[in-house]
Amino acid sequence: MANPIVDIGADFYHRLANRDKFQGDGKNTAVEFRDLYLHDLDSADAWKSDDESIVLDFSKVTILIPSFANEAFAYFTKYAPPERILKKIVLRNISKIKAGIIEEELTNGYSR
Amino acid sequence: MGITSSEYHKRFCARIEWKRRREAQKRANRVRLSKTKRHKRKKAGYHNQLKSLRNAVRRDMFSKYSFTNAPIDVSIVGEVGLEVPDSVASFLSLGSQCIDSNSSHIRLDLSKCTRLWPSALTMLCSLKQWTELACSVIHRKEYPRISSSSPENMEIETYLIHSGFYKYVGRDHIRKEHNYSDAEIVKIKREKDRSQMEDREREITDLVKKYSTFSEEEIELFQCKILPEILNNVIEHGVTVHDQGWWLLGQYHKTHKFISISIADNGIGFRLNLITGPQGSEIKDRLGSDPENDCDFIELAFEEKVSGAHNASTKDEGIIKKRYYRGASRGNGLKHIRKTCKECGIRLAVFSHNGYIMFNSNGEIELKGSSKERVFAGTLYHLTIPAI
Repeated sequence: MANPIVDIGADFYHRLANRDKFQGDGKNTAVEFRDLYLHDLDSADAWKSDDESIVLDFSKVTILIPSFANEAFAYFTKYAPPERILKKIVLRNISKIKAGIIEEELTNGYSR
Repeated sequence: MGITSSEYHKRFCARIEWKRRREAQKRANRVRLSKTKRHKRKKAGYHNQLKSLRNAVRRDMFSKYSFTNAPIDVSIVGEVGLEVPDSVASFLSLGSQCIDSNSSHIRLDLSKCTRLWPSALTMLCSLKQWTELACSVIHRKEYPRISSSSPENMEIETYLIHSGFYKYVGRDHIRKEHNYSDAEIVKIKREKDRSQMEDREREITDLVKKYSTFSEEEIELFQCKILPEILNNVIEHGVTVHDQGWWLLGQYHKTHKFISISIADNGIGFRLNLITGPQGSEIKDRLGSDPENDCDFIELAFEEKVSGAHNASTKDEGIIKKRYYRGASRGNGLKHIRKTCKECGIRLAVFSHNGYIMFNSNGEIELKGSSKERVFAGTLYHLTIPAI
């Protein structure tokens, strides 16, 4: 079965700039994004294999801030290191700057 | 033939045991469910507690003002603003004379003023909005008056109209001919809604795309790592009473070849935000709570991973040493802003209540200090961006 491809800009929002409902205008938050598209990965069992799980297309995304990347992606550093996260969550059509933001947040981690 | 009594007794005990296990399972499920509910309620509860605490701090801050002191005259000489180094001292002086004066009437003498830069206009708008807010909290019906003489330099007058300043402060004016272009400015206005944030962000980004010397990558860095982070900060901390308590002003200065962007809120400032937050006790032990240390709090926020957000990490006692409790990785926003400003060659200034810090285009601290009186009513982020 083919992995789902999510066109984030079209299916979710083009401006990924809020961590949660308390930040910014409180809309289209990273917490909502994670619940909508990545909830299957929120368990230790999901990380037993490195199979590609979901493809995220960033072609229509205009803004991605570090706080969003931290909440949406670095959250999973409790299950796996950054390299494995990027194998499971494939980022497509993403600019160098946005990819750098996600990688930096994965390296920084979510919690200690 | 019926069952024997021992058989009956066995079945009876098995049934009792089955019922006991079923009840125990139900109880365990209820506990699991209520733990999640309790955790969510606790999070929301803590957030509401923090909000109440900060509202109380705000009320306490405002209660010190009665606006009954005698009128004061403040003379503005020469240029005032953060945009050029020579006018910074005047900016500091204007703020410290006006904001904490507690006067019933502030009379600004603009007769010898040669220029009011956008940052100075932002400060005056902040002062106006802050006095209105204070009056609403202390239940004072009459706002203190803030008036100004007409400047001799008519360009100042026309700019005050063109920038939206007179509309912001509610001053009547006659429309005048001018040479200013609407394409080169993002006018200041009272922000009624958090939802306007995206539109305003787009206007600022368009201004930067059109007139800055940035490459495409630098524009993307500005869009992703500087502007939304600053806007999120001011909106999170701006007060929602009459209006949203945040505003911005952007201006392209063709002759000076830079874009000046001022983004401000009327919140409680860095110091009070940090010491009332989850990391407050540790920060207070380190820096105290004296307003004359405000610049140290601003510097701390830029240098270390600290945050006043309700879900910032806190330290619990560990066996050997204190360890951070699990929590979102908050407290990095200002570091991103500073680092990215350095990468893009942007000068950054932050003014918050009694303290201020100015970074040069290499990200080094150029000027910092604290004053006995407030130099800005809330918090101001000012960017100077190289332009064509």
